[in-house]
Amino acid sequence: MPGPSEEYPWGLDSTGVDLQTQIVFGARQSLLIGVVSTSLGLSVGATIGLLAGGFGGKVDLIVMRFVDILLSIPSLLLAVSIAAILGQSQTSVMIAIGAAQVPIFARLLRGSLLQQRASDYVLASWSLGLRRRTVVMNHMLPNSLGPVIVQATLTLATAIIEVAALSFLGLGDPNPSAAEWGRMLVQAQNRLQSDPHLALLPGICIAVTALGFTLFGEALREALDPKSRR
Amino acid sequence: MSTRTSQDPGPSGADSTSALLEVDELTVTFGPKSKRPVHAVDGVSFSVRPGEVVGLVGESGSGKSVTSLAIMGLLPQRGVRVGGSVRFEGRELVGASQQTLTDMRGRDMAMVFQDPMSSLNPVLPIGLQVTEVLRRHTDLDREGARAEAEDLLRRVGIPDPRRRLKDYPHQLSGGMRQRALIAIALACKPRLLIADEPTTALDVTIQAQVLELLRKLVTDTGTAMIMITHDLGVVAGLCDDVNVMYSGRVVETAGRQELFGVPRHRYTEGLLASIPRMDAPRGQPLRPIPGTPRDTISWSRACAFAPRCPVVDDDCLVPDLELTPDRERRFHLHRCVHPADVPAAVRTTQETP
Repeated sequence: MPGPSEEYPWGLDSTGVDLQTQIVFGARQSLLIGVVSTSLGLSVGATIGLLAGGFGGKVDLIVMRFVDILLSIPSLLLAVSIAAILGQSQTSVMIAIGAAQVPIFARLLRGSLLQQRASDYVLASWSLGLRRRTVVMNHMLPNSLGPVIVQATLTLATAIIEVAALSFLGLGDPNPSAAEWGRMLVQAQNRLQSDPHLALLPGICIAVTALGFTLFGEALREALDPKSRR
Repeated sequence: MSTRTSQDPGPSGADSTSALLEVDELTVTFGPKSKRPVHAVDGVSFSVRPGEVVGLVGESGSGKSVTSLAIMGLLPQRGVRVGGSVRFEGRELVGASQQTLTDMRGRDMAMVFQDPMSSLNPVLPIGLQVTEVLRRHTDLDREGARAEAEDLLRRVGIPDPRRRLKDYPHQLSGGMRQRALIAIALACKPRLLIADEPTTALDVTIQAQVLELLRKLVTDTGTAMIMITHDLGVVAGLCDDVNVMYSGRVVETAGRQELFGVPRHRYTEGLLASIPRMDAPRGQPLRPIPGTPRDTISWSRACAFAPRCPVVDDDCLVPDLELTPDRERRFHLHRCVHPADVPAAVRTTQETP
């Protein structure tokens, strides 16, 4: 295996492709899939959670039992089955990962809303005759979003890892020219002994990206909390 | 139990305008049908006329806050049964549709809550929380509502209201926040304001300011007010009529002067003896009421205050004691077998006017 050289600073992989180029283009794939799938999971999950937590009653009961069922399936298993059903494509990877996140967001937002429902200012807004829609959307929702946003950034980190996992299991985008960090790991595993850097470099990229989003989430939470605003 | 009907002018007997709010035999029962239910409010009756301040006084757990929530229709619907009748300008509120109540709340009747720290939404600017109510109940547009909100904040004594509109609740002090809450409650000029211990969470100087503000609002606008408190000082300064509650029932109803001058129920007497007085001899110890509100008997068996009463005897074991009018004062009602004596001096001075 040709090691690092002046022309290819991180060396080439087993098929003779420049590692640096692969990492750079892989970032595009991983981030795109991560962001799109998390947005998907967030929007669907939050809508379900909002209906359940904000309006309660039978809707709550039915929706949450369905979410409980989804939650009882390990998320990776769920993603793998969805990806297997939808076939190998970038879109199906996004949908699979997004769908696996739906129950997490639904449950989190619902719980957060229920907590708000018992609070004094919600009682105060009822006492002013505000409509249910106003109370839920203007008062309960903004106070419930904090944990959801933080969860979204944390999930974004796991989504990137799950993209890698799906590619690792051979369920990723089949297009060989579309470089992807997960697939780079798969290809590197046969040469782990002789060329560990082939696995190490994409691995570090995944870890750093995930960490970055986590830190971003923490910062976001602090910025969103009016009490910490200067 | 027959107490007062709408024709009666009420304890203070001052004017004879018809009542704005009539609460008649209001009962609130908590708990599932299968278990033994808890009577949080048990046959409470009183009425409020425009411009009048009626006090509901009692310890924690006496049912005063539940009464106010029942009037507003804000009690949860599951596991709670509300009986009796609450009429607002003759309109029955118990059993009225949620739609009707939602339209009335904030417009016809509003409430100021105890804790200004948690009763404002922390993530919304004050201005938005005021304009929101205005836009819900009036036809004002965005600009009109904002101007009105600014005016409201000025009226409740918040300096620099234009700037304050953009502030978040945490940027205001406790007293400011309570003023903002009062502004929000008064935004649509409700005819009834229920103040649920509005000064409990504030320090003493701010308490006085807030009470002064409330008193001014009542006299200026003729708003009727129900003042819920455990602070007899607040009652003395603000209320026209007072209802003393114990264990879900009214134990004494009287005008303010009568209640402080000639308390008849032993509980009221105990409450008055347990607060320091300016005119008491120096060094006289305060007499607290022994026991806690948990030492109670069901009203259906005996006087609920009996376990803590200093003059209790076997005569007190009467089930469902009636609220009876005082022999000399028709609008002074009490629910006691052995009412406190009226001092001879008071008897002569009070009868003449």
